[in-house]
Amino acid sequence: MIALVLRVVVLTSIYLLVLTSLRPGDVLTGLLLATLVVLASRRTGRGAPSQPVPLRRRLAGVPALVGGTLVDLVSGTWQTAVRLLGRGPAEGGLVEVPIPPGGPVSAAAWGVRVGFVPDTVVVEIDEERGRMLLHVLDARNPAAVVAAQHDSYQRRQRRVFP
Amino acid sequence: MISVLLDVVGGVLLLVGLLLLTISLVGVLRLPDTYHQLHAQGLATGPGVIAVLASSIATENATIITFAVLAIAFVALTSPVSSHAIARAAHRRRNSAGTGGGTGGGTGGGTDNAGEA
Repeated sequence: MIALVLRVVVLTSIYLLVLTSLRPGDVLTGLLLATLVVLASRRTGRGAPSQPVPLRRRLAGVPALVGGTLVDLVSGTWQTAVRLLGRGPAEGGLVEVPIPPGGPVSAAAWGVRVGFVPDTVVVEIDEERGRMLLHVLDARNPAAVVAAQHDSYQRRQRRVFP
Repeated sequence: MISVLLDVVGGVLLLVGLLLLTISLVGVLRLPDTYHQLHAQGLATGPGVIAVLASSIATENATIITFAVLAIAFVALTSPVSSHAIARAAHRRRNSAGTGGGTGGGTGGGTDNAGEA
């Protein structure tokens, strides 16, 4: 129930931010639309967590997820810029990363998180076979790339999208 | 005082964003294949655009900043998806060219510097 209310509040907030308005009519319209969207998504089963994790625990992991992704973004931006201007992409290549069975939501979150950083491009995700194919700018040591991805998942994502 | 500080922060963010966009353009022109060019364009569509949008903080206008924040959120969600779609298309085309037909499903591993574009 709390999760549903939270979704309605978040969607209403986005609606009001788009309108940049706090007039009562706009708030009511936003609440109505958000409730309809949440109920519709509940009926279709979309948006459900892949594993039952307490909402409080998931919310507690959000700062680590956002902060860690920003750190990855800054680091990846620097490395990409240096390579584009300097040494060139001679060591770039494809690396296959095994992913734990967490369902489509977890795989999608992993793909968006990794794809947001410029030094990695998500080529293929297959959550059923448990693998993700990445193109990285430095593929000289694929084992190190896999280890870094798993470490990133454990520290940043696992609590929010296990 | 705060206004001056916001002006400075906004100016720095704008410069960083434009620098990243320029580096991205150089990368797209220099790099040999689709995968590598996606790294370059990721520099523009991710941190480059975000820095330019974040520079709107210097306007001190709540409406503009709100729209910028929303735009950053949408860019953060859509940019990886578009890169993935292009990369997957390139991967399938390479597999199709390599096997003489069929799509999807190839394995990676190791390095791949073969031309795509």
